[in-house]
Parts: sequence; structure tokens; C-alpha cells
Amino acid sequence: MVELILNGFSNMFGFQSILWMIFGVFWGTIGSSMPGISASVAMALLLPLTWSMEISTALATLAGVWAGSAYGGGIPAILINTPGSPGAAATVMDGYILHQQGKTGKALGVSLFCGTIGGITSVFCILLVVPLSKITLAFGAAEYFGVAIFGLTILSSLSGDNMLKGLISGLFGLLLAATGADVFSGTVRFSMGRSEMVEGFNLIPVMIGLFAVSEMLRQAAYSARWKEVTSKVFSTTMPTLKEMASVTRATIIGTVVGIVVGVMPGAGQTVSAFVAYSEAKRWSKHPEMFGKGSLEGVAAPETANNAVQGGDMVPALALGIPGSNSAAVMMAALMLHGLTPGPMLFEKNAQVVFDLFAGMIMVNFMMVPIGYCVVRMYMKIISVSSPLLIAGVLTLVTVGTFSARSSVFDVGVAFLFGVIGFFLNILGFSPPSVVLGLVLGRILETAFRRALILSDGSWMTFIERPISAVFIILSILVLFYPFMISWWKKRKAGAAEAT
Amino acid sequence: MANWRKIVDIATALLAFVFGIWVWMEARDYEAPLQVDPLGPGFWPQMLACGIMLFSVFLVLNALFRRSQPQETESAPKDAATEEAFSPYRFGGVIFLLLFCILTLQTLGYFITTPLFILGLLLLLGVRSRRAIIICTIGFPLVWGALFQIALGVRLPEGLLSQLFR
Repeated sequence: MVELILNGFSNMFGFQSILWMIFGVFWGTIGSSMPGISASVAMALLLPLTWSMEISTALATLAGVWAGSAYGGGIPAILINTPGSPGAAATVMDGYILHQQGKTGKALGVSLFCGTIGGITSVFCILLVVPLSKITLAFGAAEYFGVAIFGLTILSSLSGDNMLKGLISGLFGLLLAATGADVFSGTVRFSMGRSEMVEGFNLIPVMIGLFAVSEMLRQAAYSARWKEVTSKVFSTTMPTLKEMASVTRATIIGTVVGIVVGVMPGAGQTVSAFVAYSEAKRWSKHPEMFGKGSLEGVAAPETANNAVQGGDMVPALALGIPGSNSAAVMMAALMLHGLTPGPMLFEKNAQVVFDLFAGMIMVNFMMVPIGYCVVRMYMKIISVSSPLLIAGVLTLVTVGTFSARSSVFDVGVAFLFGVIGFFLNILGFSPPSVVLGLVLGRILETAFRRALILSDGSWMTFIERPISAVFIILSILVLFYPFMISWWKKRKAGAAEAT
Repeated sequence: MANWRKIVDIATALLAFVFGIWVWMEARDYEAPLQVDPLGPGFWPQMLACGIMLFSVFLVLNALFRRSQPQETESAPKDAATEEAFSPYRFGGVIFLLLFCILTLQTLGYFITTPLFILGLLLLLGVRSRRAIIICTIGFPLVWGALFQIALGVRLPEGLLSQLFR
């Protein structure tokens, strides 16, 4: 194995390979910073180009796009409250607030460095593909339901001061996911007679509307803010070593969550980012700072976002099952070059796998200088006055949401949810909870009903299957833990007063 | 201030409750054609609707019986530098422009609708510099259009300019 790894690095250090990897990272970073262009789209656009490349160079180039995309989506999330990709939706919560506090450089720096750490660490999953693939096989419908239920406990972290409003927001998000054609019966639900609603609400326009459009509406409607924003100096100072050390715990949590969620096909970057955010908040020494400009609140989701890559490759390489659209594009590249992903890949073409391993490590390192240059460029762009920024962002939103499905209806959805998001914010509800509900809703309902179909309608299946039972019990504990602690503290305080 | 918050919370909760009732009524009509599916397509939305209605009731009770926080009862000193001035005119204007954009994007096309949208937006938001208006009205649509249409291969709505693009 050591010889294969060393050969991998040797193969990837060719001039042409390095140039293509640099291009891939740059393309991924720029592409994914455009709302509506996700990692898989950016990779798919380059796929035809890779036809003429050597297989290892092709895979490394696409891996560069993937790595760049994971970071690139976080740039507009921090700068203009617009997640460039679904995976950056959790970064918005603290990233944009840090930007408003003038700590732009610190937020972007933490995002870059922690993302790089997460990406490099997760690549080592490829060395453990065979044992990790057993986890993939252990997950059935009931297990996915358990994981999704656990994911919903994040609502308590996203709810801010009002848990009830957060829960209502989450339920609203789950309901949005229930629109469109039902997976099992084909019945079209809540279509309002529109053919565009057969697929239901698309995540990208809803997310862009709730975050970006609502923020631009807020800036347009409140004129006093302009003086505050235009006179503010955006600090480009990178985080200090002490600040990077302070986010170590969040980075470790993000890495572990990203790898574990990545190994489960279909879970994706968005789920891993939100779960990492929630867990980082739970284990943080300063959980009260989350949602108010915490560097940990940026570190955890951005690390998880990048750490998903390695985990995603596990089912793809070991079993031939793409864990995400991006992994599917990687598999397509393999098949374009005559290789079949799956168990036999390690037997017949092991060097290709280790070339990919070396390439993925190199592109994650390349992300640091390239990401830094891209960020400097963006910071010059957003230092314009508020009205110009509002005009630029709303135009970008129009094009970006249209590009997702070439549909003006999606543009309308984005604007509609912009207005909804504006009022949700004023009334104290939680737009991130709506997004989480929309992301988890489809997984939750499909897994729930599939598990019941497979068990002939027996609800005990969720308890009888150990992984599912563990996640459900964990979810109940997590939900009631704050109330138990609060009750215990009150009881202790009461006892102390009595004595 | 505290009373106003309570009224808003109660009104919002009632709105959510009515929304939940609508969802529940709508989902009643979704039947299960497959016998193997014990729940059918209507079960899940109905369950969510019940959840929304339940939490709405809790929200009303919370608003009615919640003890007012000190910051809600004391009037905060007004600071001219930070006082938010909501402009219903600007808000309404932006909504109108967004509607204009959606309704004309397909008919007029991206390269006509977007410059008009940006022009209206900049004038509404008080930008009077001719240079800024010209640069943004022409620049933003061109830059985003070039990036998405040429670099990313997304075909933007052509509208009235469809003959020109052929």
C-alpha cells in the first residue's frame, strides 16, 4: 500500500496534472460561489474535457472542482447571506453575522483553513474503503429514518430564543418537502394546478429566497442600515493562531460528522453541515455565541462540507453506489475511461484509486492559495454601496435560480420565499429551520413509509433494528436534555435557598 | 411593546393554525392506490398539519401566559444612529419590481427585463449618480449573462431578442 501511495503522488506531480488541478479548484470555487451552480453541475460541465486526459489527471481535476466547490459555496454565504450551494446553508447563520461585525477576513479564513483540514482528513477514508463500506450496507430505510429524526433535533439549535417558533418553522419546511409527486403512489400533492409543481419545491430557489432575497428586501426597506453598512470597513485580517486553536473542537466535530454522513448514500453536504453545526453548538464552551457571530459556527459546517468528499467516495469506489451527485460524476469519469467502479476496481486498477487519493490531498492544499485569491477578488466586489449591492445580488439571484431548471417559475419561488423569509425574520421564526425541514423532509418521509412497507406495516421495525433504535433514543435524549438540565438547576437552586 | 408582541404572536399562531387546517383538509383527498402502502400519500402531510396546529396552540398559550421580560416593558432610549426607519414605500416598490421581473422575464427576455429591473431598483433606492446607474444597468446583466450563458452553458430567456440570438 505504501508503494501505491508513493506512486500516486509521483504520478500526480506531473506539470499537466498540476495545471489541470489548479484549474479545477479555481473553476469549482468560482462556479460554486454562483447561486444555482452546485458542485455536481460544475463537475459535470468539465466532464467532457476530461475525456482526452489520462484517467488519473481526469479524476484529480474533477476532485479539484469538488474541493473548490465545497469552499466556494461558503464565500457568498458569508459575504452576502446567499449560500452558493445547499451545503453552505448552515454557514450563513454565523458567517454573515461575522461579516456584519466587520470580521469578514476571520470568517473566510476559518472557512478556508478548516475546510482544507476537513477535506484532507476525509481523503484518508479511501484507505479504509472496504471496512467503511460495511457501514453503507448496514443502512436501510429504518436506519435512514432514525438518522433523519436525529437530524431534526438540530431544530432546537436553530430555533434561537423561541423553540416553538423554530419547531413550527421546521414543520413548515417538512411540509414544503411533501409537495409534488408522491414517491410511492405518484399522487401529486399541493400542486395548485401547476405543472411545475409536479417535482415539488426545489431546494435552491427556496433557500436563496429565504436567505438572500429576504436579506436584500430587509436592506432595501431599512434605510438607516445603509450608512452602517457602507461606512463599515471590512477587515481582511485572517484569523490568528489562537483563533484557529479555539475552533479545534468544532473542526474535529465537523470532520467526523462529514465523513460519517458522507458514507451514507443520499444524506449529502447539507445534512452534514447542519448536523455538524448543531453538534458543535452542543459541545461548545460558548454555545450562547452561536447565531451571534461565532467562529465555531463557521468552522463546523464548512469542515463538514469538505469532509463529505472522502466519505462520499466510499460507497462509490467500494460498491459502485454514488453517495451524491458529485460522486456520480466521478463514477461517470471512471466509466468514460473504461473502468468500472465497485469491488473489482481495487483488484484490477488499484493504482488509479491511489492516484485519486494523492490528487485529492493535493487539491485540498491548493485550495488555500487559490481560495485566498478568489476571496480577495470578491471582497473588492462587495465593498460597493448598499443599493448597488442589492441590485447586483437580486440580478444574480434571478439568473442563478433560473439556471437550476431553466424555469421562470423557480425565480418566482425565490422571490416569494424572499417575502416569506422577510416576515419570518420579523416575526421571530427561523428560516434556517425551514431549510432544514425541506432538506430532511424527503429523506424522512420516504424512509418512514418504505420501512413500514418492508415491515408489513409494523411500527416496531424502528425499535427492533438496533441502529434505528439508537438514533431515535439519542434524539429523545437530545431533545429533553436541556429541559432536564434546567429542571435540575432550578431544583438545586431551590434546595440551596431553603438551606 | 410587550402587548404588541403578544398580539403579533397570537395573530401569527392563529394564521399558522388556519394554515394547518387547510393542509389537513387538502391532504384528506389524497388516496392510497397501492394496497402495500399502509399509510397513503395523505398521512404524512396530515401529521405535519396536526403538528403545526398543536404548536400554534402552544404558541397562543405561551403568548397569553408568558411573563414579560424587563426589556419588553421598559422603553429603550432612542438612538438616532441606530434607529431603524422602515420604508413601506421602498419595500412596496421592491416587491413591485420583483413582480415585474417575474412577469416579463420570459416575454421580454433576460437582456431587456434585467436592465429595466436594475434601473427601477437603483432609482427607487435613491441612486442618482448617472455613472453608477449606467454601469450597473448595463454591466450587471452583461456580466451575469455572460458568465451563465457562455461559461456555464445556461440558456437564458431570449424573449423579444430571440430573432437576434438565432
